[in-house]
Amino acid sequence: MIAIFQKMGTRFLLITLLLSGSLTSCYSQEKNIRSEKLEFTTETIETGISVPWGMVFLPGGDILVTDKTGKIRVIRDNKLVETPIEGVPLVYNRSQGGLFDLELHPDYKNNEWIYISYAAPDDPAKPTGAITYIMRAKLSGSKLTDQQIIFKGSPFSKGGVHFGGRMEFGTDGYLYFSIGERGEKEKAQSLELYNGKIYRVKDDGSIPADNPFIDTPGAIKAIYSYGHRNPQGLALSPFTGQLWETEHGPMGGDELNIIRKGKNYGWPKITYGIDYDGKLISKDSVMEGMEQPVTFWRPSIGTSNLVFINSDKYPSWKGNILVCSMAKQYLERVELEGDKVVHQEKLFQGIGRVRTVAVSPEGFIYLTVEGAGKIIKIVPVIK
Amino acid sequence: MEYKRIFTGVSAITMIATLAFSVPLQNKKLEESKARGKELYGELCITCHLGDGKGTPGTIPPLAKSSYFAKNIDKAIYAQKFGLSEPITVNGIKYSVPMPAPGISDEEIADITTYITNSWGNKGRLITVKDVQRVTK
Repeated sequence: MIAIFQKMGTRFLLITLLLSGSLTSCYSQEKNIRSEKLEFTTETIETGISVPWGMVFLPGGDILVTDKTGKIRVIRDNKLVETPIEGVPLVYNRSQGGLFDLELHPDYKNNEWIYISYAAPDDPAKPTGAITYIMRAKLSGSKLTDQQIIFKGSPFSKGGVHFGGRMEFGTDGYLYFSIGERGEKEKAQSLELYNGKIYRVKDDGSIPADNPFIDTPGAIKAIYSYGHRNPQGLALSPFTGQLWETEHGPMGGDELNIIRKGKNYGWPKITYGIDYDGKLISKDSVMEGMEQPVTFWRPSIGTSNLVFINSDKYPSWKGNILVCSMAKQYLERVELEGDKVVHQEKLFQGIGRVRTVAVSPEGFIYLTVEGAGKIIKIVPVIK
Repeated sequence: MEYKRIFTGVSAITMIATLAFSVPLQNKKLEESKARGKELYGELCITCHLGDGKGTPGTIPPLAKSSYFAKNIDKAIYAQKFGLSEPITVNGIKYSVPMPAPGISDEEIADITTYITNSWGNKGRLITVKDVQRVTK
């Protein structure tokens, strides 16, 4: 009898532990990590979001995180709020498709616009294909309201790859965002097709009069640059105001680029990578009239997002960029001298697929890791 | 009588024909499923598991000659249906990178599984939608 009771007790305890693990997120602080130029500790929230694709910080202290499967979740006081945000657009959750990035309007305090990028399905009830859309909406309590689709890519296609989907506001107040080539590489070279481009629009989706292809017959007027494969990272340099991009390349061809107006980044005419089945994509990696990357990664690290460090919290990292590696599972710190990469350091090696990285309004670095859905805050150790 | 003989003769021929053709027919189905699976593999799996199915030791498990599903194909189907979040051991090496569920149909899972179990030296059979439906959480 006692034995049975004990057995039940253990089982009950186990169930309780399992439930508490799955129903509430867990928060922990970790021991100090010594890196090349900084000693830091981390604070981790385990959200259980298997792909935490994008993240944004609200003025009140809440963090909004996208769950690629189609939810926006709230992190409040280091805890995952149980109920997801309502009114999120339906997404095409196939392979890389789903809910992507979040971005606040530069004047969010006054107009409350939140920008949302996602793989929009052709038919929400029975999707057969999708393409990247941009919506803006306002958050009222735990509900999105005033939803407006401000940009629609085209056409819908079945493939689950290369949606791009990263967004960033420029110093000009315009919204920049990426759409990948959707697995149809040749289309990245055509100004008449949506595949493989960086776009620039006004905050309501209308086209700035000085967009580079505004007078080009047949061109999509929102295009800012072209010849991209799958740009999943965009970051504004706080030092130069330039837009930097990480592009998920083919095998051995991930790139770091500076995005310049009207330029052709070459995919698939030039690349440093080869196809995943080992086939040659192009014999060329340099061509007249096409931009060269700042650097490229061979072997591929599987780049996702990037961010510039301009925070007084990390003086020894100031001016560096941090790049997410999914395939190689780390965060890369890149030291720059002007437009040149002079040093690279691997942080958090083996942590899991690092999906996004961002700096909070207080100046702290946060990264998200797939799987357990970790949100990790990097806290410098002050001595 | 004469009819009966003809009938017997015809049915015998039919039987032989059926036997002779059913194997190629089965092979044809397998080849078709494998071809569709190859296409899907190129879309959904190749970036991590690579074209030769060898993956990256320690990070991405191999599908070529994998001990993980060699004796139980349901494990390969399960991973595609529901994703994997717990660490697994393949050919003696531990893998802990989670695999998100790709969110695809049972037909597509069947074709991909046919492809991976009949490629890179793997010798398997035709995987059907029924095989996929059988695997539950």
